[in-house]
Amino acid sequence: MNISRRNTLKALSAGALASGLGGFTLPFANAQSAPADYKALVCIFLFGGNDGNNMIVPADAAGYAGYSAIRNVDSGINIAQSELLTFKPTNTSTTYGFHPALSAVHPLFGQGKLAVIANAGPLLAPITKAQYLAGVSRPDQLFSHSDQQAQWQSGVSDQPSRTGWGGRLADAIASMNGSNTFPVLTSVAGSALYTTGNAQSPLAIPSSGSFGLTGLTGTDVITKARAAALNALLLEGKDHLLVKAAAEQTEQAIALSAKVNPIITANSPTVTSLFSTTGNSLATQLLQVAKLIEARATIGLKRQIFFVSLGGFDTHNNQINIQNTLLGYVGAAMKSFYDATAALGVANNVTTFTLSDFGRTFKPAAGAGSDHAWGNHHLVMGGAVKGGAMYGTFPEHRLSGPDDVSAEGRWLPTTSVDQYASTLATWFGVPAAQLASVAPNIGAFSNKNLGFV
Amino acid sequence: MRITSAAFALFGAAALQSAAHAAEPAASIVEFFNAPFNKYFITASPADWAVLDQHASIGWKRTGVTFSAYTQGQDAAALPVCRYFAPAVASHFFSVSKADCDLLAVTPGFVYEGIAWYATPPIAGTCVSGTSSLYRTFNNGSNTNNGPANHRYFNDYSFYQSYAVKGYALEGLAMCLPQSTAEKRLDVTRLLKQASFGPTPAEIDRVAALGTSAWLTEQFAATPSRYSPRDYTPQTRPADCVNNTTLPLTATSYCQRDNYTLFPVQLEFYKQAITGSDQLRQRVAWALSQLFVVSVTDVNLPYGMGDYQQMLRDNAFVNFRTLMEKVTLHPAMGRFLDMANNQKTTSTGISPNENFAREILQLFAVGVNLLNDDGTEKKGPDGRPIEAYTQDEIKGFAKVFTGWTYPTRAGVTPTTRFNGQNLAGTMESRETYHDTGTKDLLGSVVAPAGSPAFADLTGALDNVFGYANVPPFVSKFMIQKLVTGQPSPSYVQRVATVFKNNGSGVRGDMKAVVTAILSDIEARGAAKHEPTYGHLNEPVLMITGLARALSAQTDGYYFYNSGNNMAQGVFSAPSVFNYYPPDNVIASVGVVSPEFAIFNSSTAVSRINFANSALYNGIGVSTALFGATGTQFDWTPYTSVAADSNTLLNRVNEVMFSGKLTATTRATMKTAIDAVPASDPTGRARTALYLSIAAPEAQVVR
Repeated sequence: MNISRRNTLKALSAGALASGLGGFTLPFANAQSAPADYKALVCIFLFGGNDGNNMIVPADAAGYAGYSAIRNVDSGINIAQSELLTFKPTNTSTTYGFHPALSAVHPLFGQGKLAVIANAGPLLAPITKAQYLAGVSRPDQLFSHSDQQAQWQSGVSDQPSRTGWGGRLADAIASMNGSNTFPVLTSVAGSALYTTGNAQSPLAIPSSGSFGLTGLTGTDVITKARAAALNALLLEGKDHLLVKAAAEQTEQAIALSAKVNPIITANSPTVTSLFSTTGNSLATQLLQVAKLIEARATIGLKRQIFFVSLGGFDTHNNQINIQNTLLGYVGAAMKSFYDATAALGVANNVTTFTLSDFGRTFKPAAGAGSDHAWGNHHLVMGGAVKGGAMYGTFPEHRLSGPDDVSAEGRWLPTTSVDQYASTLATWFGVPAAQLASVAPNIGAFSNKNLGFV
Repeated sequence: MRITSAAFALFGAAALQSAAHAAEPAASIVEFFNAPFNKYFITASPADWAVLDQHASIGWKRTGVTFSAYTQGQDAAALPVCRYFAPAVASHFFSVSKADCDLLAVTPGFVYEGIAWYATPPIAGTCVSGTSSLYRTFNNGSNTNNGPANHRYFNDYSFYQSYAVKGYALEGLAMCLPQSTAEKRLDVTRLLKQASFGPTPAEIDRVAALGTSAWLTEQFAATPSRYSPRDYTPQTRPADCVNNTTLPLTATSYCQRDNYTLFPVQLEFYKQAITGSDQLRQRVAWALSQLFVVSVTDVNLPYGMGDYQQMLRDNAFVNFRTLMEKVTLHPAMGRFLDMANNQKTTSTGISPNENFAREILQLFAVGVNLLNDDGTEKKGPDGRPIEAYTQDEIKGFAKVFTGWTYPTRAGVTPTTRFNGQNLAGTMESRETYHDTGTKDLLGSVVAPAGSPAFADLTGALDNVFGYANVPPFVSKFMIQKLVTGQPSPSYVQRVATVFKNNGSGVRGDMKAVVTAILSDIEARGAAKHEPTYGHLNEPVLMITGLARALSAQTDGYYFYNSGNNMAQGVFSAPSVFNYYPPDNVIASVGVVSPEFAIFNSSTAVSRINFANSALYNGIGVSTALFGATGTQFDWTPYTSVAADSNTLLNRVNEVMFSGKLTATTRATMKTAIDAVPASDPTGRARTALYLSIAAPEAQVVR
């Protein structure tokens, strides 16, 4: 445990509570000037814990032999070598293969628009297996869905956090958006810790259908009176804190839906046809994001963060079929979204990245699945991404080996969530001195920029 | 500020009625707060109210807190409450104790201002049933946040307790106050919001007459509503099982929808929640369905989901240990968390599946960190929480839960091998696949080698059930589901104590636990004013609440998927982690509120739009449901009083707001209601109910 950092967090939290805010406060007032360019970050959260071990598989003879020795055909979770979509990162000597369901985005790797982050996970500080086994610098509640989702989304691994790193990133760059009060963060996937900042709170929009109150547009005196009363009611009873919070969410929804609804319900000639949304909820969500980016001049923000998600990755059983379906959705949706940003002329201004609960055990589990683990592989996509490369260190596929903290292939991460977040935050324009407000553990890592974007 | 006591003379004249024991309290105590002075003041004098209301300009405002009291002669046991003023600190003091009053009379610095009202003294430190406890706190002026020396009085216990953290001295029970008929009715309304799918106007009258205790007894004995039993269906839909919309429909027209989606179970859920008479059982089962989650994500066949949910209903009031075993061995859970056909480590190196093992500990019974009996986390020497179990223990439980398979289907001869999927009934053991090694269990217990599957399973469930975390974990979860999202530690502890021992030496008696939760002083009694009290009405309860406010008769069709765009489709949580986590904190206000995890700008408007559709758009009889009867609302309780918008608002305040309608909200709603001509009583009722759903004040159950 990093005592000094914990104490710092506690001190910050105490200050935040005193001022009525949760979580962390900004270490100093920031005042970046408005940038000329537009940038957006799009977080795709794969709920349930995507099995990175089958998303990125060593494809050369030795690597694949190591893989299939454990994930053998009998396990039910073996991917045949011939099915892998091979790629050779520019910065490794090994050839890897993508899961065959990622065929849509596979070409983006070769085009330098897609990068792989290897074996990343929540860390308080760089950690060795010996330290882990001794209980040193160990994040809380490893292998638990709820806790690990929270740690990936918050960057805080040794205590509960009320804010996510997306939210704190929005806090850090809010001044770049000038006086525009439109929320920096938009979620098309409901409420998420990732999107909650100290000052910034997200707009949540539906993934389909209209957004806004119905039945109040009549101009008759009765309807007008009802609408006026509704607005007045949102100001009442706020001495009760739940009432206050409910009122604020509803007020925000009413205030913003008039602007947002026409954007998300319109058919965009530029982007709509690029998405195949049938059955693919991630594509449905990313289409909404694309429409909002298309309307960036109307919304008027210089920096935006979006949150979308796909669930079902908790493949304790029947993993081959389930992951095949889900990664098919992911690949198709990401490719459509990349094409949309290209069509809008903002491919270099939008960076899309994945997060997930955790990786899964390399060793198969009964039911043709795998269990909860730790380090995991991720994808980053966009024109600004230095793609065609793998960032971080790929784990050695050996049970109880140097990278396994158990006997089932639970990889000890060699890249931290904080490094991942800091790299993206730096691209977004957060100065080095302020990175710790976004990624609280970043001070413990000498490499604060993984260089993938 | 000093207030003349001359007005108290009025009470004597007004209270010459005979002293009937259960007399309706004739005095009302109103609390005021002056923000610039940082002072609270209570008074039962209408003359005082008038003075203070006229001095809003210097900061006096009503807080909304009121108490009832007796006037002289109303109650034989009631004593005068003396009111003293201490000019040096400009603060008032009230006491029902003659000794206190006599002492203050001879204490320099206190000025007698007369009799404030009449109340009964505590007997042996408590207030008798039917009266309301008034607790006193004192701020001695040393904490600048609290302003100068001042007393504040409370009749909700957790609010009173919460003042300790602010630096007030908790001075204990000051006196006992009578409850007015209106206050008792509001307690009934709150009970029905906590323990049913919402009050109907008729049910408020019935339970007000019956009393809480008798209602609970009746509800525990009520016959469970039943989901229709359904035949086994294979997981893969036969090609000829499709939806045939040709009219007239038959019972099998919608083969696909009725056998391969949760439609029929969701339909029955709403129909029975809205119209069933076993309200408490259904409500507790709905809570349990969010503890022992099984979701459509893996269990999409209604015969299995219906069987599982019926099991939760039938076992809503049994022992928690029994419930754990029923859940563990139900094949729908077996499918959902992969315990069905889970086997010992194979020759090819496949480990036992950890899914059920982990979640029965983390989510169903123990939680991730060690707890005190009051639900707060224990802390280690380093000040950090202590993990409640280890990965080795999860592996141990994963081994325990091996060797179980789906129930053998009727007419099929059992074998020693694993069965194919069958989601109804009870799972069966297959010893060949059971891990017979030793297993690490909780608390350094090691299950012995060589035990057969059932003995291992019962031993492991006993091990979990006996773990010290279970009483506070389960108690707090159920309190959150029924009463309040951020219960005081002492509330959790009181319920956990009953979980540990129901008074007859039995641990885990859920009937006793539910009784303890709903009878607790934090659930019952006069209005609750703590700014964190209660919980956001989750979408399903908001929907049923509106339907029951209108005493709906329904076939369920209108409602079955109405929560979907509010992030709460019935039995459709995104994962075993339910629709929302029990420890969700609203970042902006720092309050624990599980339901707020699915309340956002998108779902907020969906909730209001539901009310608009249900109230204004008309509900037809579906042509897609065989035997459809539609949904009918009974508007009479509202339309019959709609000519007078104030009377309509009284009714809506009781049913929808639990009596918490503030004066300004009331005035706002009245303007909108009065905009509808009195000749359109249904229009007035619609406006009133629509605004009740939209009003944040009514969305929070308290």
